[in-house]
Amino acid sequence: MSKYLFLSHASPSWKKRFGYVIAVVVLALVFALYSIPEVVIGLANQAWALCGW
Amino acid sequence: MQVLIFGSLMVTLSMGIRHGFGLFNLPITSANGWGRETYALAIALQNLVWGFAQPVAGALADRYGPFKIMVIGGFLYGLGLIGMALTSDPFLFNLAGGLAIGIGLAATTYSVVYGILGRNVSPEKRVWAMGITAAAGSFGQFLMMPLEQGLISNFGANEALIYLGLLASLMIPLAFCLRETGFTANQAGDQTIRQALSEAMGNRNFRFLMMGYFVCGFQVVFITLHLAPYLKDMSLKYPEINGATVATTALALIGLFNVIGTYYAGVLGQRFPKRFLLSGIYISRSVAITLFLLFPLSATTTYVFAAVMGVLWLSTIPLTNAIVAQIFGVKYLTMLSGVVFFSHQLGSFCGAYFGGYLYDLTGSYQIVWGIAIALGVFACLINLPIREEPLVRPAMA
Repeated sequence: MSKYLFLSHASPSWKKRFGYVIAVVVLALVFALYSIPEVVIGLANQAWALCGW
Repeated sequence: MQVLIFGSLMVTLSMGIRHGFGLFNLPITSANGWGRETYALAIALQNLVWGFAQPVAGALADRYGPFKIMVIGGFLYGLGLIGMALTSDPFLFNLAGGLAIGIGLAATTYSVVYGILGRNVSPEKRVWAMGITAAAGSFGQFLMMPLEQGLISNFGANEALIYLGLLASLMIPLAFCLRETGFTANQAGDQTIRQALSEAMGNRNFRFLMMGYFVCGFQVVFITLHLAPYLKDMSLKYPEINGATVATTALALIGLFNVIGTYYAGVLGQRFPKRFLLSGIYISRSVAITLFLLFPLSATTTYVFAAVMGVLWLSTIPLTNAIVAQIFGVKYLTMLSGVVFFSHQLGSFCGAYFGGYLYDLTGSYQIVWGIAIALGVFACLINLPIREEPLVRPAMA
């Protein structure tokens, strides 16, 4: 099953592993942006606005 | 590779920018002294125009080449955003935010880019490439939400819209990078657009895909719009889930796992029958919703539900479009993807509207959750008998 985790049938090279590490770091950084208070408030306002609160 | 990179960038921008439109609701309406319905109408109109314009944009792209359609789409998208910033007239705001951006979306999102991918990527790598592009669109949605909030906080809503308009205009040079030099319009004896459309609509596999995609739209939009109100309602019984942080973290988790899910849908689509993957996605959604409703609500169960739904969120896109390409070929892939997407948007409308309507009628979301579960089972079953083999056509006269 592990081979399905990577881009091709070939076993993952260091480049692919590096690419995955970069992707995980970028995703984690973007996820962290969501914890900035003004973002939390903005998103909450948006969610509440949808139902008229 | 060039097609993949620039196609992904195009979808990142087009899907990403629109995802944060809800953030402009309060600042724009209060600055202009409007009720919320003015802004909501523009966004509803945008989604409606997007759904109706998608098959048309697809047909035009298949007829005249996607490059020209994307240039027009990028221009309209940027113009619409700048128009939203500059006008305080509700009618003009609807023209800019509803009509112009709706058409812009139809001309720059998945269907049009998938047509280019279909023609330029080998069949065995097609679903993988579609998965990469879908993941890029998902990443755009995930990334742009906090960035747009940052723009609004630092520059105000109107200036933020102008910056986004300038960002959207980058889609025009991106379209040049996606220009297909070998693209040829129909030759004498080729299937016409009308023939392709009637062939697809008469094909049961295509109809099954449309029905499945309808369910996808219903579930995704219902959860997007109504999960936060549901949590708010239930917080009377479960105080732990009250507050902005739980809803925001749930949205962030959906966005994060959506990127991963769409990418792996493409990877798995290369190796397993796509109809089984689609069935698996739909039934997993039903199971996830059922468990979410059965377990006592807490922040943890909400986060787990959001992560699981995130994995299953837009992972139907590469698989559905790859099946369309596999059965009908790539000549009219853009238009046929647009037709399937129209069904998705109908489902989205129903998810948004009936979610609210049935809540108002019954005072609870339980019936709509039940419908979402039942539709997931239906979509699972309807995808199973799909035949993924290419259509054998008699020689054209």
